[in-house]
Amino acid sequence: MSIHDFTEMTGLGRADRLHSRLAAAKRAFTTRNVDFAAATRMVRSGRRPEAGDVILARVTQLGQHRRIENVHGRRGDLYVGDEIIVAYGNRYAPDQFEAYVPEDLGPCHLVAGGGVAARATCRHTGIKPATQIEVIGALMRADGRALNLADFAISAPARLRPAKVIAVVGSSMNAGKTTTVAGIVHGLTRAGFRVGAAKLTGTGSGGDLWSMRDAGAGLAVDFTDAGHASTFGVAADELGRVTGALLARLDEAGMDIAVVEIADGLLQGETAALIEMGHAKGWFDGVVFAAADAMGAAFGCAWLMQRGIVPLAVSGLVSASPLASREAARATGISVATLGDLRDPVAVARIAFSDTSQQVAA
Amino acid sequence: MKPPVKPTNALPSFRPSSGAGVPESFIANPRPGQDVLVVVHGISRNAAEIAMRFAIHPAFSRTTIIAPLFTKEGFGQYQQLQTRTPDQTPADVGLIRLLDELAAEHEIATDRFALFGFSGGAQMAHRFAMFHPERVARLCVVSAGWYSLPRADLPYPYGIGDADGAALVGPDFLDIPTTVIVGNRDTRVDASVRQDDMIDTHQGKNRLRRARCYSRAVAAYAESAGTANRPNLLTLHGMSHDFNQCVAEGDLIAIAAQALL
Repeated sequence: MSIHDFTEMTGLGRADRLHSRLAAAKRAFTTRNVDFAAATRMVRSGRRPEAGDVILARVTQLGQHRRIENVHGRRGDLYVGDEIIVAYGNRYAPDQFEAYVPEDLGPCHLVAGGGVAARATCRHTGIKPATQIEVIGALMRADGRALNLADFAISAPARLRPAKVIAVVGSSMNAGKTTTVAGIVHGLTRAGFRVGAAKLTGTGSGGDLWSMRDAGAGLAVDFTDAGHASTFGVAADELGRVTGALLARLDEAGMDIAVVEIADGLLQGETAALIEMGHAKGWFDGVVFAAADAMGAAFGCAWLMQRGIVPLAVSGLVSASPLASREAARATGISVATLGDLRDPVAVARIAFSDTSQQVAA
Repeated sequence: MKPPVKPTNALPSFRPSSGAGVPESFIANPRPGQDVLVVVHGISRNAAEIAMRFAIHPAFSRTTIIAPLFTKEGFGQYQQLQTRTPDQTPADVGLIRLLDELAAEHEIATDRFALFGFSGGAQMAHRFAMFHPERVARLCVVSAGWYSLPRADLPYPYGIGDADGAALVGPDFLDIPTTVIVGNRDTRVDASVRQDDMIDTHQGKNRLRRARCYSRAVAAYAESAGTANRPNLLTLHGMSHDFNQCVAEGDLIAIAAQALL
C-alpha cells in the first residue's frame, strides 16, 4: 500500500490501520528482523521505554542525521514530518553523541542513521545537534508487551563456533577497525577459506555489515541480530550471550573462520570487558589491533599485553603511514600490517595463523 | 556465558622460516610418535588452507600435518624443483631442511612421511618422490598441471633424462604406493595450464588427459622394470580444477585419507 491509500482506509480495524501506517513509514536498519505482524496497537504515554523497544516516530527537526538507513541498506533522505520506525538504544560515540534511552515516550533524538532513538546528553563539537523526533507510539503485542528487538534475536544455542576466531579491536572510534576487518575477510577469502564476519558491539548500522559482505564474507551479522539496537550499557553477561549467539550463527552457516569487530577503543567499558572476558574464556584465537596512530598502537598493545594478549598484528589508520608504522612497530614489537598485506591471501594467512602464545610482551 | 568451542588443537600454526633456504610452513598436530603428512600447495600458495582442511578432518586427527610455503622469491619454480637465480633454493632441498628442523623441534619422525600435493603441489610432490623415494611412504597427487614422465629419452622436467639421455632417477619410486587423482571436469585449458609442444605431444592438452597419460607411462615403466606396482588413478566425478570444490563436494580429504593412511 502506498501513502496515497490512506484516504481510503476508513472502515479498517485498528490493527489493519496500524499495519498500513507501518508499511508506509520509513523502516530503519535496526528493525530489519522485526515481524510487524506481531504488533497489534501502539501506546503513546504512561510507559517507560526499554532498550530495544520499537517505536513509530515522526521527524520534527532535521539535525546531524538527515538520512536514515533502511532495511536494504540504502540511506534515504529524511524530511520533517516523515514517519520512521526505529528502536530505542543508548549511544556511545566520541565522534558524535552520548545518548541514553529516555524514561518516557516524550520527544527524543535520532542518534544514529541506522535507526536508534535516544535522548542525547552531549555531542562532539564538530557535529550538528541531533535530529529531533517525537514518538507517535511504542508498538505493542497482543499480550501487552512492547515489541522489542530481543523478540526477534537469533535463537542459536551457542553450541559451537567457527574453527578460528580473529578479533579486531582498536584505539578509538574511526581507527580503521572496519577497514581492517574487511581487509582480513577479503584476504582470507582469497586464501580459500569460508569467512564469516560479526560486529559484536557498537551502534546499529548496516554500513559495517555491507563492508564485510562486499569484502567476501559468506555471512555478516551483528548485535542487532542478537536483539540490541546498541550495546552501550549492556551487561557483560549479555555481551557474552551475544558473542556466543553470533559465533554459533556463523558456525551454523559453515564458516571456517570468523572475523569479529569490537567497537570503539579499549578505554570504552563494554569493549574492555568483552576483550577481557573473551580472552579469559578462550573465545578469540587471535587479536588484531587497529590504531589511529603510533601512540595509540603503543598504548593499545601495552594494554593488551598486560592482560596476556599478544596481538597478531597492528593495523588501521597508522598503517597508511610508513613513518608512523615504523614508530608503532618499534614501540610495540609487533609487526604492522598494511591494508595491502591484509588483502593479500598469503600475507594474511601468515598473520592469521601466527602463534603468539610463545611471544614475550615487548 | 561461554560459547563452547570446537577443538582447536588441530588448527595449523604458521612457522616463520628459520633462515635462507628453509621454507615458511604451517604445522598442525606436531606430536611425537605420530605419522607425518606433508601437503604441498598449488601456485595460489594456499598452504594455510590446505593445511587446515587436512588438520580438521577426523581421519587425520592423529597425523602431524606439515604444509611448506614455497615463495617464488625463495624457491623459484618449486613445482619442478628448479631455481631461477643463484640465491634461490630447490624446493626439495628446502623441504628436507624444514623437515630436519621440525624433527628436532618436535621430536617427530620426518625421515619417512606421506606426501600430498594439489595442482602445482602435485607436480612438486611426484617429482620429490622420484628424487627422494626413500623419504616418501605414500604419495597422493591431485590435479597436476603436467608430469615428469618416467622416460629417460625425455629431458627433465618433461621426463627423467639428462642431456645425454641417461636416467636421473632410478625406479625406486615405483615402490611408493601412489594415487593419482583428477576431476573428470578438469579439462579446461586456460593460462594456468602450461601449453608446450613437448608436454602436449606426450601428455595431451588438459589435466585429465595428462593424468591418464602419466599413469599409463608409469605402468609401462613398471612393466619394463619388472615390478607389478602401478599408480592408482581416480577420477572425481563432476569436479573441476578447484581444491575447495574437490574438498566440499568431492570428499577429497576422505579419499586422500584412504590413499595416504
